[in-house]
Amino acid sequence: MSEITEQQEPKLYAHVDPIKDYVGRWFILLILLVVTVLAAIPDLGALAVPIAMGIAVVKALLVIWVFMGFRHATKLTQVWAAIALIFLFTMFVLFLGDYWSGKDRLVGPEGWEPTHSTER
Amino acid sequence: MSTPNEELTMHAPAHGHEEHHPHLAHQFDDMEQQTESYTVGMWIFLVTEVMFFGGLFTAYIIYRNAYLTEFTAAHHQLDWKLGGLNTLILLTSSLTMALAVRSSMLNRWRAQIGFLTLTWLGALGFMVIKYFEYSSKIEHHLVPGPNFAMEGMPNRGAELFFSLYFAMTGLHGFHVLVGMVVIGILIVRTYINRKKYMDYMPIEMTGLYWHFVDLVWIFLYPMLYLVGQIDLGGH
Repeated sequence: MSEITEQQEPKLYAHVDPIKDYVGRWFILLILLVVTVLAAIPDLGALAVPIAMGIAVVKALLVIWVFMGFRHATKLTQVWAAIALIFLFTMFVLFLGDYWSGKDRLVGPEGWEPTHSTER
Repeated sequence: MSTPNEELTMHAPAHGHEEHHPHLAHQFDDMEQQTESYTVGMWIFLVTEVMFFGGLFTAYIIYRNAYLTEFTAAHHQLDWKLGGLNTLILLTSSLTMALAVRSSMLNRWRAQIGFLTLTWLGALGFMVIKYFEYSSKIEHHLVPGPNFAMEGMPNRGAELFFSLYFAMTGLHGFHVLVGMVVIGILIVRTYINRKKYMDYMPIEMTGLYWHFVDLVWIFLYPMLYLVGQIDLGGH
C-alpha cells in the first residue's frame, strides 16, 4: 500500500469495462432464468434434460466470459479454464462409460450395492 | 494479504527498478506478469473446485438414471419458486461483485464498499432462504436416515435423491458462507485502507471465487428443482 499520489487514477494494467456491459449481461441471465423455468412446465420427455442443461451452459458461459473476465484473460489463464472442462468431461466419460456399459451395470434395482460382487 | 507486497515494495529500489509500480512484488517483471500469476493461481484452484463438485454431479447423473421415477417424485418435494428466487439473488450478487471489482480498479472506495455490501447481503439472503428450505425438509422427514419418510416409494431411490440434494446444496452453501467471510473481510479492509492506493487483485480473486459459486448454482437449480417438470399450482 502506498499513499495516493494522483487521486482517482485508474490502474492502467486493468481492463475496465463500461457498466452497461455488466448490467446488459445480467439482464440476459435473468431472461434465461425465466426461459429455463418456463421450459420446465410442459412435458418435454427426453428433451427436458438437454434443454435445461443447454440453457445452464449458456448462462455459465456468460458468467465466465463477462463477470469472470475471461475475454480479457491471458492465454495461459484461458488454457487453465479449458483444463477444468477437459478434466470434468474426462471424468464424465470414464464414469458414465463404466456405469452404462450394458450387462455389468453397477447399480441394481434393489439399491446402490454392486449387483455382481458375489460372482467374482 | 497485503504485507508481502508492502515489504517487497520497500526493497524495490535496491534492485534498480526506478519506476516500480507500488504493488509490484520483486519476483515479477511487471504488473501484467504479477496479475497473470494471481489469476492463473486462482483458476488452478477453481479447477480443483470443478472436480470437487464434478464428482457429486457425476453421482447425481448416474443415480438419476438408475432411479428416474423416484428422483422425479422426490424432486417435486422441492420448492422451485424458492430455488428460482435464490438463483435470482445469486445472479444479482454476481453483478454487484463484478461492479465492486470495477470500482476497485477505478479506486472508488465508497462504490467498492457499497457493491461489496450488496453482494454480502445477497449471500445472506441466499442463506436465509436455504435455512427455510432445509427447515421444511427436516419437518417433512425428508432428511436421509432412520427418520426418512416419503410415501409410496418402493425403494430407497428418493432417499438417495435427498442425500445428493443435501450433499450438493450443503457443500454449495458452505461455499456461500466462506464467501461471506471473505467479502466481509474485504469490506473492512477497504474501509481501513480507503486513503491508500489499493491493489485490486484481492477483490478480483474473491470475485472469481464468487462467480464460481454462482456457476455451480446455475447447474444445481435446473438439475434439482426443474428437470422432471414443475407444478405451477403446488407449494
